[in-house]
Amino acid sequence: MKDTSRQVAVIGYAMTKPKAKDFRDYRQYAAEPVFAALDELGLKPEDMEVWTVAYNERTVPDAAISPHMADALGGLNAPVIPTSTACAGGGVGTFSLYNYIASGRYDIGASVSFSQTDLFYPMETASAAGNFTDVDYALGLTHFHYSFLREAYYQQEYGTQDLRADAQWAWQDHWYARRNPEAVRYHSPMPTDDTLKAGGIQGMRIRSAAGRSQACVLIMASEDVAREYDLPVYIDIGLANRPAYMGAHFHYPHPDHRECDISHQPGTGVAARRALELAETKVDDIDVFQVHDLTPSDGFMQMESLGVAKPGEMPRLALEGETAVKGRFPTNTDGGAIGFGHSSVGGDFHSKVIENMKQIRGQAGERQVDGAETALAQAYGTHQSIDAVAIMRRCF
Amino acid sequence: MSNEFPEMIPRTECHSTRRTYRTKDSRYHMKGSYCTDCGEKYFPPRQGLRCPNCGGRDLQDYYPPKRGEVLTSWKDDVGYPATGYTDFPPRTIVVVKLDDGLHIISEVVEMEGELVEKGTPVKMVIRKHKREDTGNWVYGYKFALAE
Repeated sequence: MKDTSRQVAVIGYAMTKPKAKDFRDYRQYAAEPVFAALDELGLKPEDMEVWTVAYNERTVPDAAISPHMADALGGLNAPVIPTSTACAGGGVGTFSLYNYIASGRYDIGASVSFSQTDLFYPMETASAAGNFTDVDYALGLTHFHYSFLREAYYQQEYGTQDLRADAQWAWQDHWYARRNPEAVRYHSPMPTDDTLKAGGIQGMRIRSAAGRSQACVLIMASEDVAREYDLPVYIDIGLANRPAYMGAHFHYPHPDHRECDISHQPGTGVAARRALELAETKVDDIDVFQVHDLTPSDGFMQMESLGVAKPGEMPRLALEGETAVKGRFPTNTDGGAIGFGHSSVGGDFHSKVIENMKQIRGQAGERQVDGAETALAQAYGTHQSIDAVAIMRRCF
Repeated sequence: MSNEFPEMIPRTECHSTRRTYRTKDSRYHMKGSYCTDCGEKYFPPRQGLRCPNCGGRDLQDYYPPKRGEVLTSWKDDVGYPATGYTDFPPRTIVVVKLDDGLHIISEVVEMEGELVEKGTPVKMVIRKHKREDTGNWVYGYKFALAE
């Protein structure tokens, strides 16, 4: 893999706030953060040389959204590159924009993402994604089955069925979310220990992702352009895939990962290594992590795949408080999917990048990690089949 | 909508009859593929694709053994039943390791949602699943406890 020709930085961002009812169409919804971010930077849409737009195709009836978005955002004369790779869509779009700028072809652009999850019709349409539909989805096995089966396997293999570690991870997400006005659970009361450790639907709901709609934008620029703005943050991104059929996560169809099973996330590890190489840093040097945790076991798996802990070790580290703001690796300081919310394409990658921007700029309030200079954002999509990892560092 | 087909509601994710027909062998017989160069076996089938193990392109039909053991199980009772399955009792969703080492995601029948111990032997059975958009029933593999 060739080195990139120049550094890329995020110079601005914006995102929508959680809102119970929002009757705007998707163009209006996506435009809100775009115009807010551009106004903040003193830029106009015409200043964007290239756009990437990540969206959830299950909420947008228009088959090709690039002309819609180009028209809505003021980018008719610029390339607008759409991507619809489910929850990792923001990562894929940002990866594309990163490469457009790093290559030297463009100097500045916008990575937009949006998803109005209340438009899923019916809820079942959310479930087919990330599944091998000819066999599994056709036989009533959905997105949710994959997720919970993976959790059950992890708990069985690493002895966490008593849910103590899961409850601690979820509690930590809730704690951060109560200190983040952007989090969907900001106003909710903290769950009790009994609720967090409960079995069945009650416990599952408080320990797993809270759905939300969201739209986000990252304004990215080359190093030279970034110098003209306040507090830019370097970004480097890696991207990888895993097989779509979850049964193939055993005897994994790649020679590097033959011994893997569904409690491993090799694509996340590959994407992280690529991003760390580009950033010329190591996972041990990361000050704060944002990972995709639809369930606590999911969070454990991401951290282990990133190389923070050995397989099966993360539950103990969570119980010891290492993911807390004063811990060895503060994690999901925005509240994670459990506390901040899970919006699929809308923010599952972008919101993590934005939280890292706040941390590196020292603007995270009570959630601020002391001395945060290097941060990691990770998201996966289409049920653990597409993996995106970003490393972010203080500029200049 | 008629009483004859009470589940016939507009379903945007319902499979078409043509697609259901074209892919039926994998659901009726767990048809997969094997690579004639290195012998590696795969499910779902990969004919016309590339063998990830050796890079070979000659992948042929493969029908795996219909027996195996449960690796892990999960009770589907958290409120997100698949469309067409809402009238079923809580399903027991499992990962099955077949006798040849392939892994299948499926369910174990007649368990009323009870979990199945790791290592429990199971065998493939054909069972009714859900309706297609024409109202026809989709049949396909599930697993049952083996003696």
